[in-house]
Amino acid sequence: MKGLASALIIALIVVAIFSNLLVLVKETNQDVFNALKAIGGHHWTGHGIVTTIVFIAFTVIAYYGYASRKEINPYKLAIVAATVLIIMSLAVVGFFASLS
Amino acid sequence: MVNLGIELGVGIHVTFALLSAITVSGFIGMLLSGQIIKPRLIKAMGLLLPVFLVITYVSGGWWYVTYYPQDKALILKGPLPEAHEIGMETKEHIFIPGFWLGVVLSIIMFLFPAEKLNDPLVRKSVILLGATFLLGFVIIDFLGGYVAIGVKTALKALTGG
Repeated sequence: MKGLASALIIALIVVAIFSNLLVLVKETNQDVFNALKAIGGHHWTGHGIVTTIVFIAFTVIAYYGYASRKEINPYKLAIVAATVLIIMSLAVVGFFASLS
Repeated sequence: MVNLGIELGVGIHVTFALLSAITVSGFIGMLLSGQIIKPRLIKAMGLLLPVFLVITYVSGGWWYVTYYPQDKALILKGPLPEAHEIGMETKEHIFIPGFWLGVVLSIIMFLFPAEKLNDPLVRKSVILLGATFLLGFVIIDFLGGYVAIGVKTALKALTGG
């Protein structure tokens, strides 16, 4: 798979990891929590706005920096994306379970 | 008294989330059947899916920031505080990458020609991504039910009903 689809899947992997790290940071650091609140009026809205910027930025970076020039095995990329999404979701559950 | 904000907000959120899942299920079904025989339908689905996703995101987000704080306070006083502490906290955060997975799938539906989707390796990859989307939908749906039960048990405990 070459081009935009690969870049989008790479950006998806980055967003899944970034969004999770942002959860950990904002829930343990009040300054980050307040900064996200200032961006969107509510921390969740700010979280959504920041991840949207990250997704678009990494799609562009992945496309022009790599995906438009190299052939990437689509199945390997899809396996990485699915695995990252599942592990990150389990990590979110584990994090909030540890806080409760 | 009927509160249309709450009722329409939740109803629209759930309905459009379900429509997103039905669209992805239909796409996976076509890919599993082996041959893409309705490429125009897939393109239309690729246009509809982001619309469904955005409506799901905006209606759910609006309801969450406007009305959920009251439910949250109630849940935390009730017998199932985990419905918020684990259920809603997880739901609201795994929703964000799930939205972007849906966007990636819709772009693939819209941009990929039938011959590309018929390529076995591409087909297998897109089925895997679609299945991950549906797994996320089921988990988020389950957590939505968990939150609703959290509110219900809290009301029951607090009013003695």
